[in-house]
Amino acid sequence: MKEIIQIRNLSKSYGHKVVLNGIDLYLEENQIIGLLGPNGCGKTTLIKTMTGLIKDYEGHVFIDGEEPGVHTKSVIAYLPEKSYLPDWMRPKDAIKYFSDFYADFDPAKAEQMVKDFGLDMKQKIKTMSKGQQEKISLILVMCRRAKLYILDEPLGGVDPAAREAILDLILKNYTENATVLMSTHLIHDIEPVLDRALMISKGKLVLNADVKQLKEEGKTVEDIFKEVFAYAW
Amino acid sequence: MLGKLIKNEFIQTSKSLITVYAAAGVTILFMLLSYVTDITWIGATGSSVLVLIGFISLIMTLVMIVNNFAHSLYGNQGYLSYTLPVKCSNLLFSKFIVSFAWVIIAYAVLFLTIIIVVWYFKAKSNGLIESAFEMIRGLQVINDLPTMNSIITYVVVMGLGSIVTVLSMLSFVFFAITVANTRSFQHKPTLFGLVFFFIAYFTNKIASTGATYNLPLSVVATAEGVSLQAVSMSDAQNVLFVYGIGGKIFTAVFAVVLLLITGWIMEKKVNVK
Repeated sequence: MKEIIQIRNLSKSYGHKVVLNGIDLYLEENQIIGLLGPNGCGKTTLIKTMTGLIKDYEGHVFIDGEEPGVHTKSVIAYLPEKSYLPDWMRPKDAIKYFSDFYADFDPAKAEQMVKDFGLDMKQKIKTMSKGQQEKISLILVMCRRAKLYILDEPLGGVDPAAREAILDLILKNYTENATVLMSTHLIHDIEPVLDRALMISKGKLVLNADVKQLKEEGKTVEDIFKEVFAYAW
Repeated sequence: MLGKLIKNEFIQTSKSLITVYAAAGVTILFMLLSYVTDITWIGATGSSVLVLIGFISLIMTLVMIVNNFAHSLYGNQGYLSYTLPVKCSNLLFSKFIVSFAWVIIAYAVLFLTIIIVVWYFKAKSNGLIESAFEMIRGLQVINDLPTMNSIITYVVVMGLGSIVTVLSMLSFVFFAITVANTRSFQHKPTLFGLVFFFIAYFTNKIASTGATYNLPLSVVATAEGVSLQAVSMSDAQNVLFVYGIGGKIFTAVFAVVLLLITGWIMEKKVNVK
């Protein structure tokens, strides 16, 4: 199977602080992958190197065979951790904006999903609740027919009921054969849907395992997580 | 994609300026009403408000350009801008084009407000302003000054020079904000943004002033007409209408170089917080 992500010897520092330290990572397509680790372990930095938001790193990053650039950005559907839509935008503006720039975006599906979630197409997104804003952002991302979905903490900051709805939205809407990479520290919620688990600790990749295989060995991702990150509690 | 970037940039930036231009439109309507109904106090107040709006629109435009560039590329919205499937050079160019257009619009509005106020008072002053123009024309004949057409051509050249200045200022602003948001400086982006802006500004000011006065290339307006002459401004100090363009040429080249550096940093050194 084709590798959608190839990362060789990736390092990134902020001043003297090493955030990523010699990461090697090769991930095949058509998987749901959990990028796991406590806050500050380097998950978001790793994601930012893949999405082209950080360019001053050492090492090599290839997405769909190319270094981050116009092509990789056209095949990645990215949900940042932060609210990133401009203040003036309403859902209808955001849908129009995505239609303009992403050839794989489905505006009709997005409009329908906005209605299905009971959101107002004409309400300014900045005046919506945090949960509603996250739904809008996720709808925009999941209405793309991308090769790689990178979702940074999609379950962060929402209650357990909303988490279930968000996971459901992701699982029902990603493109067949695509890869979904989700970063989170909420292992319990996503473990059942994962094909592969990655764990980053102190800038190093400490686990890259097939979840099915782990289960066969009588282990759970959550137990390994507690074991690896015992220092963090 | 560049066309789509420009379109969306216009939509985004217009949101913060629409109010001030709407206010200018309403004030012009009031002045027309004053002209038709002959209620002078409305016209007098309206003319002051209109000129004020002209200046406010210019200031707001400049503030909007700085804010928009910083927030849309290096604030949270940077997560959207930098993940669009477009080249960074296109991203920069679209912002440059749209910002330039807004500055020109702001200047045009300011100019228009002044024209409207002059026209209004000309209509109400029973020929007082026309007499002033006649007096200027009389002075031209007596003092052997350039003709009105020559002065207009000269002013157009100065206007083109001002456009170069506007473009260069945009280039300095974009360069300063971008450098201030690289890894080494992004802990204090506002402070370093100002520092880099003033470095660019004063470097240009010193070098372009030197070029203006010493490079032998000037536009000269005399009673015979307007011409491009191989004289420097320092050699033509006794000529009233002389405009050294060496400095503008330096400024244009310097601005292009800074823009290219800005594009390179965006492409190779970006580090969105």
